[in-house]
Amino acid sequence: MYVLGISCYYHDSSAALIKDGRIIAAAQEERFTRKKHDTSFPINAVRFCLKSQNIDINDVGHVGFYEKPFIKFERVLSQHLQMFPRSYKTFLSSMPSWINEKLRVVRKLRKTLKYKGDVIFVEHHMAHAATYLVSPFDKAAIVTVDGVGEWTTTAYGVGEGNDIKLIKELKFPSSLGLLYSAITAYLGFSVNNSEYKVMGLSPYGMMDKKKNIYYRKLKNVIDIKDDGSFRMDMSYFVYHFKDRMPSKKLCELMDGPVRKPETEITQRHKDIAAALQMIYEEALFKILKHVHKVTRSDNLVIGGGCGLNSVANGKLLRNTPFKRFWSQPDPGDGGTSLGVAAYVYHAILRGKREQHLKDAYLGPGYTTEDIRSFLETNRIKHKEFKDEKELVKTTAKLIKDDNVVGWFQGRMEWGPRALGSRSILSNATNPQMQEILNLKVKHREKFRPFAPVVCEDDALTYFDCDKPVPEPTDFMLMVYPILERWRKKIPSVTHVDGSGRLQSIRREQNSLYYDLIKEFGRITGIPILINTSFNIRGEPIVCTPHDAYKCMMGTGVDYLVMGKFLVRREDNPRDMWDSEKNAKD
Amino acid sequence: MSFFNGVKKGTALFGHCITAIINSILLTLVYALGVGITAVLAKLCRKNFLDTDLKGRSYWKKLDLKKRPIEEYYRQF
Repeated sequence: MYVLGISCYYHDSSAALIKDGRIIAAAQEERFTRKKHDTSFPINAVRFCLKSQNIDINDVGHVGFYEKPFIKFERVLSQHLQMFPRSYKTFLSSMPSWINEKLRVVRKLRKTLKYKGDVIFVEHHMAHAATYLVSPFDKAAIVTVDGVGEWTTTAYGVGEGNDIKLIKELKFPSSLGLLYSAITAYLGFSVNNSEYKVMGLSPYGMMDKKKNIYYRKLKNVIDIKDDGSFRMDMSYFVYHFKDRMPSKKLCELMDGPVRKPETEITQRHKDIAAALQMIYEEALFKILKHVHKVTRSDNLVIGGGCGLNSVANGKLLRNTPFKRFWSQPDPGDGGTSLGVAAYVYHAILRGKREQHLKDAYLGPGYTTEDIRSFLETNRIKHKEFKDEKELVKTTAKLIKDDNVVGWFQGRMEWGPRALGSRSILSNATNPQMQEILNLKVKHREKFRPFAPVVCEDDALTYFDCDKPVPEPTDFMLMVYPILERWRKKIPSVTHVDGSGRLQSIRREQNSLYYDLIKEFGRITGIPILINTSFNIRGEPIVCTPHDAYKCMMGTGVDYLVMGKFLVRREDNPRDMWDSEKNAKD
Repeated sequence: MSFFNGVKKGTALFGHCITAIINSILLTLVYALGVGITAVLAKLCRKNFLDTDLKGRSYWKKLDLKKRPIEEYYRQF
């Protein structure tokens, strides 16, 4: 039986397909439409899911949707009632989309997909919590933390067998996710997109709670109880009735106006980022300690967009009593289509739990013939490797020689991180590589380091990871300290505080990628590569061979290893694509 | 041909503008009469729609969300 999960109309629309309890296809809509964080109905992602199995919508037994739209609408109306007349402008701007789209999900499904069956609506935080159903655990504590679902912003409960029970919640407008977003907006970065930049900026600030004045100041904004529950002083925010987030009072508290994008980032901004990260971790760890006390389970599953805070994730097993931790590759809203599909199949229809999601390779893939046809049709000069051994040896040598290599292999990753299918790889041992990558491809802020990838069996040699290395590390969801003696040897991936947001890779997940890293280690002595997403700033990660080639030709990526083919940028005429002109972020 | 394309685009733009104006007028009426009157009455009755009080020993609220009969999931509320 097939179950299709859908999430859309907020941010990161996506679709996921389950067959007899196994997740067989999942993708975010942005990869097809090329609009970052696309919110529209995920028609392309649905088509991909169905095409991957050569089925049509009539073969799907059930369609699940990731929230209860009418309850969410009730919350939106409550905001307007509470804040009348100050919410007038947002009422005018938001109501048309509610009337035309968000309250007409069933109609949209019937019209666009010709779907005739019933639609199953699952609460937003339950869709996040359902991550547990594809985890390795038979019993676990579940915590969901995000911006907001219908009303819930934080929830916890227990998963046991096929059942999930969410016991307690914290409600809108108090939200750790929205607090993080509000400060992100204050620091001049885009909301629902650049929270990770604030996380990356935080180690540059004062991380001593006693010395950071903004930590003390921000503590006035949020009241955190010993049991981890919290409530925010809403006089510091306007997001519950405006399309902005921080209030004038928050600006006064933070000693200045909202930072304008692209202007200088001062020490004050860095200290604010540090204060926010410390408060977030303080609240999260208190929640987790409380949840452990209530649930008495040593296994923890986290869902919700805050699960992408890899700095906090890397510390949680050392700061709470939990012994094991799991999260899916996309804990944010994009991942709820997978969650709702799993919930429908396992919890509602009582299908047997057989799959533990071990890798993120659930997106579109292209055969050798597809790629060959693309290259030949477009008269792109290329070389074909005779076997995988030659591919691995040549690519490792190219990376060792400080070339920037686009790596396009197998099925696209599910979730926001490039994990070795649509990655740009380069030499982590070159001290100049951060600058080279920024100059050639990424054009991103100087304070952001690149991420390392290491084989799982080598991770403990170079990183101070939890033992055994938690599986979310495979999905780049954990930041760990790099061991002191290696920091100077892999400077491009070492953050200012000596940490790295590593990806660990196991051979059974992606043998070609694993072998490449091992080969690089064999010829350089350090089996660590820089792995950054295959895109230019402001664009989604590439999906098709066309996207990959276009990205390479518009940037300074030197080589593209696509399937068993090698394409050299300099052998082919550059088109008019200009990555700087197109960088939107 | 380009003339007709221009006319088509212009008509579409005109349609969008009219829709936006009518929507704004209707939504303003709904906001003033529907939301406004309810909000005033709610304020008179001291009804709060959002939990913002910074009081109490814990802010956790009971949720008790678990599996229900499938028919309940067909509802959007």
